[in-house]
Amino acid sequence: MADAIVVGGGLEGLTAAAFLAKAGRRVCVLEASETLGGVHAGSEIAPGFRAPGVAHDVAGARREVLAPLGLDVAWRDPAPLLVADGDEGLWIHRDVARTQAGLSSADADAYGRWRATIERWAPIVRRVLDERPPEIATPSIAELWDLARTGLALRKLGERDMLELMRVAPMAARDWMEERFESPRLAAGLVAPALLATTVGPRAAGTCAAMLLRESAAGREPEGGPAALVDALVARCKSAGVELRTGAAVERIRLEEGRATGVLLAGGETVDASLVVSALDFATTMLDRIDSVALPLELEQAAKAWKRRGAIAAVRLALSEPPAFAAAGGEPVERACTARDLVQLERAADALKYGDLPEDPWLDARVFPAEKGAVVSLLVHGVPRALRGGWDDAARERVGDRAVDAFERAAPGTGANLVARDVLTPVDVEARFGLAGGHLFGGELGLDQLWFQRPCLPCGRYATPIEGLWLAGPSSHPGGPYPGGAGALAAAAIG
Amino acid sequence: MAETWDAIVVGGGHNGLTCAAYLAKAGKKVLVLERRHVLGGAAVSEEVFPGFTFSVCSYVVSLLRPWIIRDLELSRFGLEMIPLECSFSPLPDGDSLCRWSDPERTRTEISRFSRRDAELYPEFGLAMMQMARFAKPVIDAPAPDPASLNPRELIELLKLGRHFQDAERDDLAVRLKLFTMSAADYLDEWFESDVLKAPMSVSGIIGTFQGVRSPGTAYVMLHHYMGEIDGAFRSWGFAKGGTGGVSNAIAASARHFGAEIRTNAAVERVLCSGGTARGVVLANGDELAAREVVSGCDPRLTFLGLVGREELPDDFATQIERFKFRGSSGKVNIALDRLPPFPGREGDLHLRGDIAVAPGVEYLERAFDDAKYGDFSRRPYINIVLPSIVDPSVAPPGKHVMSCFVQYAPYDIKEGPERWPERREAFGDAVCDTIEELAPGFKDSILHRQVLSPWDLEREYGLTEGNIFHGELSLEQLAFLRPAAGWARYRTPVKHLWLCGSGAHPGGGIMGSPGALCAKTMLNGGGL
Ligand SMILES: Cc1cc2nc3c(=O)[nH]c(=O)nc-3n(C[C@H](O)[C@H](O)[C@H](O)COP(=O)(O)OP(=O)(O)OC[C@H]3O[C@@H](n4cnc5c(N)ncnc54)[C@H](O)[C@@H]3O)c2cc1C
Ligand SMILES: Cc1cc2nc3c(=O)[nH]c(=O)nc-3n(C[C@H](O)[C@H](O)[C@H](O)COP(=O)(O)OP(=O)(O)OC[C@H]3O[C@@H](n4cnc5c(N)ncnc54)[C@H](O)[C@@H]3O)c2cc1C
Repeated sequence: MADAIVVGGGLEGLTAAAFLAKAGRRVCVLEASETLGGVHAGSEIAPGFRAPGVAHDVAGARREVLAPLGLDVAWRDPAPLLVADGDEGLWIHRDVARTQAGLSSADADAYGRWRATIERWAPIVRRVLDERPPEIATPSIAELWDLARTGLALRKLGERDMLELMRVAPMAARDWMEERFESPRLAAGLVAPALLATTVGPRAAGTCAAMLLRESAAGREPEGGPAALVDALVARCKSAGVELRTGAAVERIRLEEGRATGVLLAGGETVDASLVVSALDFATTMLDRIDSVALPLELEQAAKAWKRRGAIAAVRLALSEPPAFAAAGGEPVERACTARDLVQLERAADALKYGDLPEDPWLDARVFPAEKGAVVSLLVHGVPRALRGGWDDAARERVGDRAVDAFERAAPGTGANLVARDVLTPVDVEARFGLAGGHLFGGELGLDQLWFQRPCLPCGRYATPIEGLWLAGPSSHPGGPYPGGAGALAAAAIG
Repeated sequence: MAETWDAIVVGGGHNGLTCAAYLAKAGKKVLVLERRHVLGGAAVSEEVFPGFTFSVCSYVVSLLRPWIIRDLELSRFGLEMIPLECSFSPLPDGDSLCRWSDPERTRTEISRFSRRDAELYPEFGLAMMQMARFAKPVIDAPAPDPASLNPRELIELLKLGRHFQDAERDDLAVRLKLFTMSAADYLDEWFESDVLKAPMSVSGIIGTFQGVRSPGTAYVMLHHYMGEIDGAFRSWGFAKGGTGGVSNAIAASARHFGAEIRTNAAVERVLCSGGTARGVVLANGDELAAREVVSGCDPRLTFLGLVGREELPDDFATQIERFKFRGSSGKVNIALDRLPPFPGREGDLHLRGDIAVAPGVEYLERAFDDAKYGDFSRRPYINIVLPSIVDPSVAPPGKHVMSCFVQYAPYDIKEGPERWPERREAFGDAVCDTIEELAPGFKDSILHRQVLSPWDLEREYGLTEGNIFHGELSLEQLAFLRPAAGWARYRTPVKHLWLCGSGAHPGGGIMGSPGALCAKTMLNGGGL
């Protein structure tokens, strides 16, 4: 019998399993599909066109947190981001000076100062990202001490910086950008990544906090992309003796006298364990995988209130030739964003509010080489899970068309090279990966769903009010966009 | 410079007057200088049309601090409050919801739309009051200073924190969420009926450039419940004679304690030398000297207008320049021949409170969207009151005054703010058309109409960009950040210059707190 069952073999589940095994536990991972890696697992979208997972970017991966696993991964600096939707564009590099080279002198100056500010703040933000959230309802002395240390780190910034950080954090991204930059495209390129999968536009309060998290977390990414990280985790799990079972869908997490005792699989098999670690999202775990009669009321309420309004479609294009970006000046492009200005981002969020498809969506794009050409992976922002009139094939094709049109503006001629396309609406994402609401990050990243409130106060530290049941999925701190964090911190909390 | 004053207060808004009254009560020689011909600033009553007296700007009172009413003996000086009886929300299909001060009647009304909501409604009110109780100390004391190492400050902060934690985990979770969520999301967690949620959600957006779905609007709803627990009068009320009644009572009190108050006395600039304020120069050229100068004007007007950037530290001036105003509301004041005929309701009981034109959350959100892209809302949120029903002194017999607070009317329309005079009447028409749709025949009863755009609020009332609160009440502009980091305690970088208006902590609304707390700070170790 295993000590611990991990439900779900996505990145977080694999991470949790690897750490638990490292701590000496006998671990069994149960994965519903035939492949491990969840949204990060690659697949073939057309013969000769192997695509990475729909989650095409793992630059937010918590490298430091994962370090003890000694993963066989080569980390590299992410390629520069091209922000363009036509002939004109700009590049955002890791290197400040190279980015500045493409900006007006006022913006170059402002950008330098902005980045310097972020760099000063980033260690504090990273510290929050990489530690277990504090207990705030009834903190122990040790936890108070930890909180005080974070407070002290904040104080060490100096009074001016500290107050500025406290001012900026709850602000709207648009206001911060307007205080600093003149180029609409630069503002859009900096804000867009932080808005990915949120339901709000740049005018929403709190979007600066999302930016700060993104900017501070941005680090290196695995050579070979998300799939390389999955492969390395799988290898590590295997070498540590983790039992990895695919095709093993968990039907129910079994509770006896309010305590988790194992799971029931779809085929009727039961698997016992003293610990059940769910790496599924919060709503799915509580509402679909636990008998509602046995579910404590506070968890039921929290799970129902958990905001998970999917806002993204994933469109993958199989192309006979790599796309040629009009604004790239002949440089190779791996990462691109078609955001033009903050108004476009705001309008995409408007459409979402009313359940409409955005007229003019913006795309987060990655280009990968493929055996027979190239694969372009597009995340289309502002595509509502709750589409007015509901989802059908025609609506899905409309999303595909708008994505191709928008991409065509950035990379003219793409349409002519199109071999195949694969469109996943939020409904498809929900069905394929079991992510409630089709939300990318296991739940929205508003201020009210972060840190010790992720996914709710009683479960904000990976343990749950149900004895023996732990959460390690993307709905826990630090959340979906920061792979490895939740899995590792949950395993550490379990001990 | 013949006379020297202990303090000159620039601006006879209710906060300037409150500050002056407290200083005078402490025996100081005080002079108030008001630019306009009437006192009150945004809390003013004016006879706009013969026989019709309007609360031209603010129209209901809730947060006026009870301790100020006591200290300044405002009842003795004519302050009289008339409670609002109900909150009425007409719907486009001729139906309507009315929430009464009587809980039983409210339950019956709400249950027509949702039985479940009707049961939860009183519980929601209790929960909000519970939380307002925790937030309330904040509006009655100077802002905490997180940068200070002073143990006394830290103890105060800790006490607030303790207050915050002094709750069951459930409560704590709710409190934390309240500060970050949108009003609409928060209400979604409680209620199902759009008809109920929409008029409730608007208390999260009054005076802001936010929509009911914008994060951070939920906690603003608390303000709505704070008045309720003061107990001095029932939540929201009219001041007899209009909201100018509040200002006039404060002015009478100030005079009683010896303050001198002049109207038609515009201050041109604050006299500064060597980083120190020494008095003021009036528009007519007169120079008046004072030991302390107190500004009741908003931060931009005060520092960049009356003082001047050259007298300010660069860092501070930058903070003031980026302090956000961007007014979002307008006002339409209408003289009526008869009461508006909302279908399905007899008599005038349902009109004795406020009327919220907020027929749905999506309606409100679309109103906001218009404003985001630089236009006034084609179908706006309107908060209407008809105070002449309960206070006949403000209109000729049988006639009525109708005050319409309208959102959204962005200062920065796409044509440019200076083009508002050309758009003004179209804006007024949008408001009247919206009401006409809900009360057919209403337009025939209009005798006169006054339309105030944010541009007008700026020009006539000295409210920068028409912001009704002297600067947005968003989290980054509150408490120790209002109006600038390090300067949240009424002092300014200019020696002997103080800020006592709504641009100081705790902010806008007819509260009196900034004025009173500023005076207390001046008297209490502030060197006066
Ligand atoms: C379209 C899309 C694009 C994304 N893009 C990015 C991106 O660019 N950058 C980024 O950082 N993040 C991205 N993400 C999100 C992010 O990677 C995820 O939110 C999060 O990291 C996923 O965590 P996970 O790997 O543990 O979960 P998942 O990958 O969702 O893994 C959960 C696993 O559990 C399995 N499972 C489900 N139900 C059961 C069951 N009952 N029994 C057993 N197994 C079950 C699933 O099959 C799946 O393998 C994206 C996500 C999506 C959907
Ligand atoms: C349309 C509108 C509706 C509102 N509705 C409500 C409501 O219903 N309830 C509520 O509680 N609050 C409401 N408010 C907000 C509230 O009225 C204000 O926050 C509050 O009245 C501001 O008071 P104050 O004393 O701080 O400033 P003000 O009232 O703005 O006072 C500043 C004074 O300074 C004067 N001044 C300006 N420049 C000079 C100068 N150079 N020299 C001399 N004097 C000068 C001005 O004329 C003014 O009298 C509303 C505001 C508006 C505009």
